[in-house]
Amino acid sequence: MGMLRRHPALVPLMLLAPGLLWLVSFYLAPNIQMLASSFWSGTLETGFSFSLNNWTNYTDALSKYQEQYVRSIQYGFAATVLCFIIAFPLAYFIAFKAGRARNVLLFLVVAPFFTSYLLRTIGWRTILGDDSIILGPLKAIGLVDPSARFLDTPFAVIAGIAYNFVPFMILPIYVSLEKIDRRLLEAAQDLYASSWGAFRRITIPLALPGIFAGSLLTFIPAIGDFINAELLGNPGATMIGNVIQRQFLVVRDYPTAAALSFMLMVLILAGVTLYGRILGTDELTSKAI
Amino acid sequence: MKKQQNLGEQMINRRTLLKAGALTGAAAFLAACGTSGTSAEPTDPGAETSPSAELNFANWTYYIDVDEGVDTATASTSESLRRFKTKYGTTVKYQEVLLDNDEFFGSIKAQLEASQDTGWDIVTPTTWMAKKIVDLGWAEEFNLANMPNFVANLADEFKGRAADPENKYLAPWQSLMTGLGVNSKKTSLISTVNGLWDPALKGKVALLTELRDTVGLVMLGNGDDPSSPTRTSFDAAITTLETQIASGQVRKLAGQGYTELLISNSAFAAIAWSGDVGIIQADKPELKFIVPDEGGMYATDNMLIPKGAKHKYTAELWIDFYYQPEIAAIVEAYVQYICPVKGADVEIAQIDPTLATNELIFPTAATKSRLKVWGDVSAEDQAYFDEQFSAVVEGVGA
Amino acid sequence: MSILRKIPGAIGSRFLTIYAGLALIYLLMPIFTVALFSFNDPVGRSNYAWASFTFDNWFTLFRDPTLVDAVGLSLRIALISTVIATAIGTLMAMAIVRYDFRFRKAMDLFVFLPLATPEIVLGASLLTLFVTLRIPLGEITLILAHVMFNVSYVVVTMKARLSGFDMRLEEAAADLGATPWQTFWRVTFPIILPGIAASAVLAFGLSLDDFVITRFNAGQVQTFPVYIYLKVQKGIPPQVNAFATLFFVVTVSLVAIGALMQRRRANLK
Repeated sequence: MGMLRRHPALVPLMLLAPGLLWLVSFYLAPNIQMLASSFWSGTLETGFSFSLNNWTNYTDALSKYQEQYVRSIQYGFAATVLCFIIAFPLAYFIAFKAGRARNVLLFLVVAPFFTSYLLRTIGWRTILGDDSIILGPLKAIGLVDPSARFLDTPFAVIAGIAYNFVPFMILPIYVSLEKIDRRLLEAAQDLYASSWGAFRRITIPLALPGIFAGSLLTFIPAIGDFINAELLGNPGATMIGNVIQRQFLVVRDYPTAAALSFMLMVLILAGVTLYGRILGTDELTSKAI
Repeated sequence: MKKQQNLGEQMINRRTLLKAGALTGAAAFLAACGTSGTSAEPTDPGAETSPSAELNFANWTYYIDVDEGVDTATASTSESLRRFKTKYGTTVKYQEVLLDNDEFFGSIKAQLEASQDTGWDIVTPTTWMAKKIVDLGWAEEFNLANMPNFVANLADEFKGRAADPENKYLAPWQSLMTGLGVNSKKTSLISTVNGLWDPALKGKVALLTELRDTVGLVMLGNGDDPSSPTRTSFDAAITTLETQIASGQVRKLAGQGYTELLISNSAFAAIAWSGDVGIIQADKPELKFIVPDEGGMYATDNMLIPKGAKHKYTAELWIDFYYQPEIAAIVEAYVQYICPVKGADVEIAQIDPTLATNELIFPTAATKSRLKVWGDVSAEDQAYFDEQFSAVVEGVGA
Repeated sequence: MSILRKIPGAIGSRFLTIYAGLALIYLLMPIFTVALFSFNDPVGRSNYAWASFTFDNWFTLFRDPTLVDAVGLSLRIALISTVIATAIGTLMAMAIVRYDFRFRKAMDLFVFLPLATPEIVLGASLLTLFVTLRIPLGEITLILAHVMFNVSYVVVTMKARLSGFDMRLEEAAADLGATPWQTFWRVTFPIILPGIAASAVLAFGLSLDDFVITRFNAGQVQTFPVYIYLKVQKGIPPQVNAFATLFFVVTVSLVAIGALMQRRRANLK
């Protein structure tokens, strides 16, 4: 290994090599392949041919499934907001009011995610069903309108997505809140600030990095989700993920499927880059977990 | 900084590299050891002359007899599979993985193209998909000398079919009727396709994601004939579907999952398959199967041995075993579809006399006359139909 | 004046506690439902409606060989991909944190990209690659896929742990005559071990539960999540609920034991 002694710069490269090779082979190359296949024309039976003229695959796909893209962004946004509403007070409680129970509570928050994602979503189907073990009795005693429907609605889809990302939202917010120097809040009180004032002017600004990180970690996967729409939604709630999945696995129209996929990826990466610019990339990659 | 570099470079010395190599090698070895599924070795189906230890059978759900009080179909809980094992010693690895013809085809296509073993010895596509597979040359030809029962007991209606004129690629498993599944407690018994669009059923209707079933039935409701579909009649059906979905009349477009919707009362009426309703009726008697006044659809699922199957001989043994009336009757009595095996009707009466008059298993001539099979059209037309219907399922315009 | 300011605080505090309690119930409800229905004796195949209580499902966990195979496959893939991903990822993280090289920032971003890519795109692009190269889908392709997304998670986790590392400890060891090898194994490794363990647990959990990427690249083999998905349509056997509850209990216990051991170690000091 005298070679390394003479070229110390090789050391980091050798540490990186296995991981880099893996990511290039199984992340970069497939996406390049997919980009190429989005310019194919033809069918599985007749064979595919590549041509840059097939950029029309993109415009065709976009015009046909525009609604699903828009809806995915809407649902992703709604789910992120809902997730925030659930997560923030809980994170605040754990950071400021929980004391010793803090670790136990944090663990309880994350624990549900040691069961299967599918089963959790199906669990919601069991809970939200028209005559379910929970809604049935509630409807019988009149607390809930007997003709009301929660399952197979956009509401169920958004609620399902939000549910699945609560830990991603809570943990970064908790970390930010926990780091806040309590003496700042004491000082504010000494200066006759109300608890609401202190909250608004100290707590929230200092929690912003965590809030942003949590929102990003929720919004990104939420847009591409299709499980919740498939299990909890009606035909009017289909998201772009459902379309992509069907195109790849059932219809097998690889050019369209690839075009849809690529546009989704670009959409998200654009958002992430924008966010990175605002906050600085270092913050982005280190705050993620 | 310099010290760091020295530590680093000395860390990446021979020993580290060796250890890393060993670790990766061990992982790869473990991975190779545990590999199940597809292998690339070319198989010679003619070489097998005795029953194998295993048979890999992919089928639809609710399609084989299951013992009382058991919820999953496995070799140990199915009488017919058990008897096969007793006779030949073969454990049938029966898996209900066929949820959709197109999706399943997509999952085996790559291997078939590359002349590799798909991992399945028997698959059960519907006739239109089976024909596709046969036409592509991806079905093993039966050695009929091994299958005397099949030759003797195949019902006459299946002889000389367009998909398989000489009956040497496909062995019908069950035939099914597509009609309406209705919860008689929650809604009045509708008897027409257009009854699905009754405002009283708003938000409580489920449709199938199979084109031939859903569009076929809707076409019948519109007064058109699905045995010779045209772009006009098809477009009319699509318009009906889009309208009903957009208005919220249709709650969900389900694949196999429509039975769950009926059971959980999410849907009070659905486009349904006859045998499915027969099975779930046992636990929920208020569910009824109805062939609509305008007509219903009829189709057949066929056993097919994919090219390169490892256990072709055993597969032929199973098909032949099934084509004995007493075995077919066992399956039939449970699944309540229409049996393609001659003589099964007599055997069924012996298992359970009430089944002899079961309308699902033995539809009357009048009912049969109302059943249609989706017509064969040109490849371009079918591609058009597929694309249009797929858009409906994907929720375009919903 | 101070009392008036305190009242809203008090009400606010009470309200917050109730809200937090409700939120926790909301989080745990589906889990509880899953566990509850593992004790259900369903009418027919559908496990949506509660019928009657039974321990039977727990005693017949291994009745369906397909389910057992699926669980075994999931565990195998998770184990192998975790080992590989943790090793590769830790090395990458060390490179990025400790060394300054020309493409460091780009590398940092590149490693983060898979986390920002929707799972469906990851799965679909891999499928496209495997289909084009005619690589048969199965256990191997799944391991390749799982390592890929796990590497990014490991790197990001390890970076956070490594960046707080006090290099003076290593320098002190060197000053005291330790060889670089000894320094690594006796000083560095024990300190970063909790980080490695955390990354490994994370990777293992992600692999075990992965559905989207797996579905695209599994071919005919079934992992535990794929098995569940296939069964969703016509009724999930209660044994699935039992297995899921079992995984949950085991994981929770392991983490609890780990935490207790850490506390005991701290107390002994």
